[in-house]
Amino acid sequence: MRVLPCLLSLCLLAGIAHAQSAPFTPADDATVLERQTAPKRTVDGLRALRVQQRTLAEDPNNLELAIAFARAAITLGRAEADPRYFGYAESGLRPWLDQTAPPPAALLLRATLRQQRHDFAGAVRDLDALIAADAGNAQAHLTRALVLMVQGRPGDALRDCAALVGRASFIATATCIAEARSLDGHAAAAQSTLDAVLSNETAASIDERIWARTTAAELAERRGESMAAERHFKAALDQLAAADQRDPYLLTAWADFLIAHGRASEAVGLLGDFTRVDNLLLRLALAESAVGDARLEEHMRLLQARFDETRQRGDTVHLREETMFELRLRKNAKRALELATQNWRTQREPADARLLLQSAQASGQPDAAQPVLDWMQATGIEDPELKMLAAALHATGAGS
Amino acid sequence: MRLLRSCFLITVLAWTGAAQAHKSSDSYVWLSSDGAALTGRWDIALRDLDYAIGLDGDGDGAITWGEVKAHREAIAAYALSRLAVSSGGMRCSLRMDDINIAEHSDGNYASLVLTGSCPATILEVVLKYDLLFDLDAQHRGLLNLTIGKNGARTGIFAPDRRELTFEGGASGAFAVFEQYLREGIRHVWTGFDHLLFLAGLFVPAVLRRQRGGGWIPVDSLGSALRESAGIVTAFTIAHAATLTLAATGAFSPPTRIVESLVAATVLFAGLNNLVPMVQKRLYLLAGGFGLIHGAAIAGALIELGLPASGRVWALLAFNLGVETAQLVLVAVIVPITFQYRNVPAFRNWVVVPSSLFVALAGLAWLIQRAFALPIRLPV
Repeated sequence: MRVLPCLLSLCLLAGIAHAQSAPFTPADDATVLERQTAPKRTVDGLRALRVQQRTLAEDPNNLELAIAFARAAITLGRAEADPRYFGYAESGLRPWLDQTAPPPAALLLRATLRQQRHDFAGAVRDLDALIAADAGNAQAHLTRALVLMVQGRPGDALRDCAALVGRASFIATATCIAEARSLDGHAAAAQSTLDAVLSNETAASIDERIWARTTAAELAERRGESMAAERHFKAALDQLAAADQRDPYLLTAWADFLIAHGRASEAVGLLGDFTRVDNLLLRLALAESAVGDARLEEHMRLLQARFDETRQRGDTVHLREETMFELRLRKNAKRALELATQNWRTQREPADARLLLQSAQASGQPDAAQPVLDWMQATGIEDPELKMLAAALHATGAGS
Repeated sequence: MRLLRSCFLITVLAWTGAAQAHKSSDSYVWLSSDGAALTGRWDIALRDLDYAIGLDGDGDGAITWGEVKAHREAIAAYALSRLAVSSGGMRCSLRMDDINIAEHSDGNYASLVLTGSCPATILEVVLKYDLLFDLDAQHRGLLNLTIGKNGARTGIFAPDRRELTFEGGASGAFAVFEQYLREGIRHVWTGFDHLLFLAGLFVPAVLRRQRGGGWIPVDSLGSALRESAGIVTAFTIAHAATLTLAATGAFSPPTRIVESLVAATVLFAGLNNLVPMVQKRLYLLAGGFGLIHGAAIAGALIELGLPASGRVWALLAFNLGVETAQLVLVAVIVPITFQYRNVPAFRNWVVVPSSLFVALAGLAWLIQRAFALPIRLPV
């Protein structure tokens, strides 16, 4: 049996992703091949989802059942950062998805699914249609605001956030506005808004509180206030733990924070159990690289295989992560720049801007960063690190 | 209601950055064909099988090898009902011979060992894939297909692309040509009657029995080679003519009669070496026999299947393959036999017995085919 893992790693070394993983027969019937590692909440959620799925299968054209099923699946998918659940949701909504004018509830979920596949333009089209038909659709406004922010359009997003006033909860409205303002040159105002919101958060749902905290932490970190950022991160993590919930997005942001502040060994301890989640596996590898952990090589191989497999199926959802992988782990600046440039076409958050600036710098092609410099100019974003990177690029000849 | 809605709202938003943290659901299909036979491997994530048919028998959140084995038949039935292979418009059989585990970057997969067969040699394949699409619209099937000796080709099955078609072993006229050229060569190497008939014709190229007894060795290797090449070329040309007519459906000779006639030509070729009947212009004889052989091969070639496009191209390639193989035989055998043409042992222990063997085999085939007897030849 020793030979098999050995063969497996040899094949992986050969760089041929899945094609070479030789099948084997486990020696013992009791060998565990797959273990549900999610918290009990998720396990129960999945069980309930199966029941819903069966009910829906008997009555597949029942819109109400389908919407409830899809929402449950999307909620699970978000908690687990697992695209399978989004696929389940899409299947449940199949009868309505290809209609030219699906019912509003189905259209909203189609926008959500498109957003998840990084088809941001498609998501915005659906949301435009929803809002055109019903300007008071708070959900559509909020979802569109978030997509617009991912697209690097905080000005447009702010209009949608403003439309939430009186239609959504106070904390959601305020967080939306603060997030948009943090991207368009009003970071200080955004931060005080968030602080005010968080001082009176008890009435809000846990999801809303976590969102507000994560936004506050990221904003504080961008403004160079790492103490405040850490306080927000820890508060959010404590609240999640108390509620037996997981939020992979928060965990990713927290890991980035730890690595950025020379606390990679903490990140290694934090992420050891999350090798299934690609984004967290990437952070684990980054942390391992910082502390010189021996498992780095194996984790880099796994990441490479997952990027390859994702590309094989024709997805481009991993562009940001793959850029980080190439730039910071493989040190292939040229490839990183290609990926960062491609990523910037659809995703324009501060993290994406940073990656394009760094890749351009590292590969000695400062001109390639021009789109980011233009965007910084247009939005007026205040971000000390971005400004520093831009200045460094300028010194090597960009923007001339 | 508002609170519930906004809960959902908030849920939707924060994940934009982390949405694709896991890998989506994929299965991996490798299929390859050799002649009409199919072999393959199909890796399906245990998680997906668990969601679709339920593997975790004791519901403890862990899937063990024992649980996978216990569901072996269910897995086979589920998977095989969602993959269909057909070739030339006819459905191919597919079954699961074994189940293993394969480790992928995102976990363990059930690895199904597949075998199957198509009604005829696989040249064009239509694959229909329907796994999991009803449950997970983001599922994809990643295909790696090898038809015959052609290089592997890939394809992706998706909910809006459940059927993939692969043409003629490989795409392009050149590939079709190459494929049929190979088939032509194979036809000579593996067709026993063809080989025997040729052997019968080549032997007298270096050593000829005179009417009324006695053997005459030929003078030069050059003339022996020329004559042999002439014989096989005449054979191929005639062969190509009837083959083309039959394969394009211009005429369809009755199989039993044609097969019997082929046997008769083998018998004749063997006898002609022992009791000379035709000695001059052997190429005419070969040409006449070629007409018969061509009609016989048409059946085999039709079974092999001709591509819808490039029929003529395929036929030409097949005949060139036959000719190439024959010329190689001439080039190898004639110089060797030429060396020994004056050695009495060669005559007594090679030429006579082999001609006798050819004649007897031809006779046995003739009887078997003409009377449709179930004789198994001792060769």
